[in-house]
Amino acid sequence: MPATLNIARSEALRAAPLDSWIALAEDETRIVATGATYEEVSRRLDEAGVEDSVIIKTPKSWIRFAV
Amino acid sequence: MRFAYKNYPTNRGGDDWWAALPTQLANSAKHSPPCRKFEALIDSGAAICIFHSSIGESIGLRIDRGEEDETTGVSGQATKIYLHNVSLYVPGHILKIKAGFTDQLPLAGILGRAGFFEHFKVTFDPSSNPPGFELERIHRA
Repeated sequence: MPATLNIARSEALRAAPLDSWIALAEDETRIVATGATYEEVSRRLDEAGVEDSVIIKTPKSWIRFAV
Repeated sequence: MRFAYKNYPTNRGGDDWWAALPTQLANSAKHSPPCRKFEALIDSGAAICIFHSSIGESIGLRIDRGEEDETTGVSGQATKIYLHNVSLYVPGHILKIKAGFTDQLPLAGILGRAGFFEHFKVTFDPSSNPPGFELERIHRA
């Protein structure tokens, strides 16, 4: 795995609750909100005044994905 | 426009990477503003764009009132989806598309052939450093 990838991002995702919705900060190194639904995370970001983030749905486990 | 791959942990202890884009949806019928950015996987193996129902509900879609369809993945098991017209926001572009919605999706969204690849030439280059991909908009008459 090339060293240029964002390892802090992986560590944040590894620590995230599974089968949930989370939001990463703009630099993608830490979690700034979690929730059971996309809408819940979005609402928590609004309440916290977070303007720039990216929302991710975490899987039930980090099994490698093939679609 | 060039984008870096996004890395994800794996249950085998290392990291994996996906080609993914910060994506937003808006409800075309309600002319609503786009939702907050979420990460969608670019997947040339997917026939259409599919998003988690939770995102559709957040923009006011009545998911089960959409046109019913089915998709299948590597397991071969059929998954019911509901089709809705939405506005798809990817960096620098807004597209009117018909997308599928399901609560069975293990991730937020998939950008597939109809609705995404039909509008972009996508060049994947995982061998570059940093690994990434390029999007070039295709404008057809």
